[in-house]
Amino acid sequence: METCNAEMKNQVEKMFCDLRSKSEGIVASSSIYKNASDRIMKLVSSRIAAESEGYIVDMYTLLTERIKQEAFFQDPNHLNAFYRLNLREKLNDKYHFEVDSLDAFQKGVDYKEINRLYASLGAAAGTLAVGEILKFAMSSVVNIPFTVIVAGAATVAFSSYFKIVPSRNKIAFKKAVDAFLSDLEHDILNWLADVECFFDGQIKTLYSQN
Amino acid sequence: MITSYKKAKEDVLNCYNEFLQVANQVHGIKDDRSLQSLATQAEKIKEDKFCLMIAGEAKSGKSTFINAYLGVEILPMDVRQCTSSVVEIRYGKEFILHATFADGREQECRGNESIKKFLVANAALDDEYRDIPVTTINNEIIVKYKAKKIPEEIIRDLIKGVERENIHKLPQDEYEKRIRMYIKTKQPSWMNVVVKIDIQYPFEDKEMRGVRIIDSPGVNAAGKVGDITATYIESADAIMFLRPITGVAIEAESFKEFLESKSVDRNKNAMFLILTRAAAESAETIDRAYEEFVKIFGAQKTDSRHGIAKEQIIPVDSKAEMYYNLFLNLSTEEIKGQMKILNAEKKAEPFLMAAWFVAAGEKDAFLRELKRYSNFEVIDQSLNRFGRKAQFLALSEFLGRILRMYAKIAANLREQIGNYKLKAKNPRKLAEKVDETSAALRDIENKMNETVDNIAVKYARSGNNGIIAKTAEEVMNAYLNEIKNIKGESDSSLDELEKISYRQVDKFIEFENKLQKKVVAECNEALVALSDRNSIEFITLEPDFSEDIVGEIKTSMREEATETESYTTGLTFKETHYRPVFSQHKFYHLVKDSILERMDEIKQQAIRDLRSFVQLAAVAYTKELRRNAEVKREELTRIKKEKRSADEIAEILKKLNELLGMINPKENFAKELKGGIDGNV
Repeated sequence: METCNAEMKNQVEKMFCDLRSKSEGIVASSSIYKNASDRIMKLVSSRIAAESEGYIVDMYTLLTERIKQEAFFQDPNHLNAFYRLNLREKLNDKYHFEVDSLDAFQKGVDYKEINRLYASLGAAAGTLAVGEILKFAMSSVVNIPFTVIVAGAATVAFSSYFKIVPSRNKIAFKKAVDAFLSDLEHDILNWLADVECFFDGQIKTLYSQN
Repeated sequence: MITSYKKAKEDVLNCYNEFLQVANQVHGIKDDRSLQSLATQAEKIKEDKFCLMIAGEAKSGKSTFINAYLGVEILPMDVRQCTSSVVEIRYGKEFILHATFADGREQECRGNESIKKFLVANAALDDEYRDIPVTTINNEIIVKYKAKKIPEEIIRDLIKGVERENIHKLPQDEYEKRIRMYIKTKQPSWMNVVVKIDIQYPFEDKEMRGVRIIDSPGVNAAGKVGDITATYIESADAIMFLRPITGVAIEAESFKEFLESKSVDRNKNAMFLILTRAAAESAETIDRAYEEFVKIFGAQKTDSRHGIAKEQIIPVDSKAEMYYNLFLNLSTEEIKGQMKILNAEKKAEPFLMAAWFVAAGEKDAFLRELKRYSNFEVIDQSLNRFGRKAQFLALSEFLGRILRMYAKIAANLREQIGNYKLKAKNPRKLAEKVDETSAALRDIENKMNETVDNIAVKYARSGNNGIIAKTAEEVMNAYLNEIKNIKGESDSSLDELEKISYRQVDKFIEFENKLQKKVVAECNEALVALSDRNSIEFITLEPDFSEDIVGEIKTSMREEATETESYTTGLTFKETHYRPVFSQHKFYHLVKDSILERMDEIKQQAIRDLRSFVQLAAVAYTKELRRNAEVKREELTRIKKEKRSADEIAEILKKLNELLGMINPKENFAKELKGGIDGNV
């Protein structure tokens, strides 16, 4: 389920549009495949990590504005109870991407290691889609840095191009990058829908108490 | 204005003790978060450390200066010193030396003799190689390549790069031959190059116990320092660059280049130029040389660079100070005996004889004369004035928090007095007041949550819509414009690019700090406005957002590394250092592209950190506010429920009024002290 909020959809779309055009530039200027995929992964993960923080702020604001319109929350005691739910903190804890550092990249991406991590996560989550894996990583005790998840997803997406000379395959490679970004966009929208769902679930507890 | 740090620190700690006397009598304050963090801060102030970095060309008298400054002879002075490593000296219970070699081996020496032996063996320069820049060769080639084959291109680059260090003007081919010979002989024993020396010494002088001295391996003639030295330079509280007052052409570039180097550029703390061996010169020569130095280096005072103020150029004589230290604890007769021996052995410097002559055999006058020659008192004064800025600021901040706590306690006492009076007069009215205040606190909480939400979204929203992202974009654009003008072909281009890039990182950090203050200030402003509308005093609700509490938020934001480290230790910046500094220009464009991509990552990281900070600060602010409101509510209810007779209430009121009366004079003392310290910083 993707988020149905048009404003958020628009923001996510804008970011992916920019990521697509930058990735295209990287594919065009790189002659070494490994180099290109490294740079794309860095670009995508650092940007999404930064934007995800903004999305949480946006989502919290949007959802809070919405509930404040409801008659129930016109009562200052109910409104106070809402604030005392600490939803900003809860969202922040639950949906905060762990980007320990970009160390994985600074030390050089270990494809085999990332692939192994990602595949084991995928096996546990039952899918190789980023959003699902993210959800799984957040809901369980597994603590995998976000960058590794993106790198893993990219590795899965680009794996067939590993041994192919890129000059002959730039179009195919570009297609793979596009597909990867589209999947990721879809997953981010799903992730936002999950945020909304969690928020609404928490609000329901307030109604039931009264 | 208070200029002695030692005195200011003592006064501030006394002030804190007085504050504790008051705080201990206040009901329910023991769990107060501000009180706990004040205690932590007081501990830090008690144990504060000062890191002084000593730099200078070889033979600039660094060892003698350090010994004279510390008042003990730790470093050997009678050998031509040439350590390739950083020597760190600090207080310890025993005299111990700990050395680390290039292959990671470690060695420990204890006691005077064994340490001296180690230092002479590992730091004395072989006479055969006295004309070549051994430190540079060790750091740039031997330690980096270890047993690996050194490419001819690298050796050629190095030889070209150290051309200016041919201080004895050997013919070029002879100079090159000696360098090659040194590399050939030294490389097989690369593992024996000492890369770090730690010395602990049991200083008797308590003042010295908080000082950490970093003796850097000589800067070369081009003002360049090794990577390890650079790291120390960046974090030193003060840097002293030593050079002889005469004997080396004033216009020699080393200091100027040192000032311009990227590591010095990153340190915003004080820089001093210490002109050594001043006692050997006439007053006229000293004045002339001094004026000349002021003219050359004083002129560099621009916003983005280290400027040297006149007061930060200090002519000194380390030998005069060492004689002072030596004679201080001798009787007049013993001094006479020593002087006779020195004279007979023809070891007495002319200034020593002159001082002895002027003093006419009188100990105190002799010591005064020696102090006048050494001029070391000026070093302490200047260090207090320019080098202790961070420490003075910490004292001021600490006092500021004590003052806020006084205000908070006083406001709470006033409220309590009012409530007890009401209880005595009309208990029902008090019950009504409790309900009214509770409702007012709830409304303040709701309003403040709303305000904090608005502030968070104003700063941290996604895309380019929030202040954070917009400002990051502006900072980035200014950076791109700045680096556009660097010419990649010049020798210093990469240094310049790195310098600008580091400054850029600092700008992000600066923005982060400013923003943190701004967010909290905006929240406080709203809280003041809301409290004004009620009878509740703002100070009793104000969440504590002092630096260490902000620090806690930042730690929870990133457990593993401080942002500065993770911003600057990325591969891109380090990558350039794997190559000898002399080859950098060849890699300019390659490195530039890589730095640009890294910069974009840093920008994203800064945006992410800042958004995360705003989120966490919003959470912390509202939580803290709620906690303070809760305390207030409980206090009110407590007074309401208490079963007290009229006499008991009168007794309580008397005690509360006494306590309130104690605060005012103590508060004034803290205010005056803070004013004096602020005048200094």
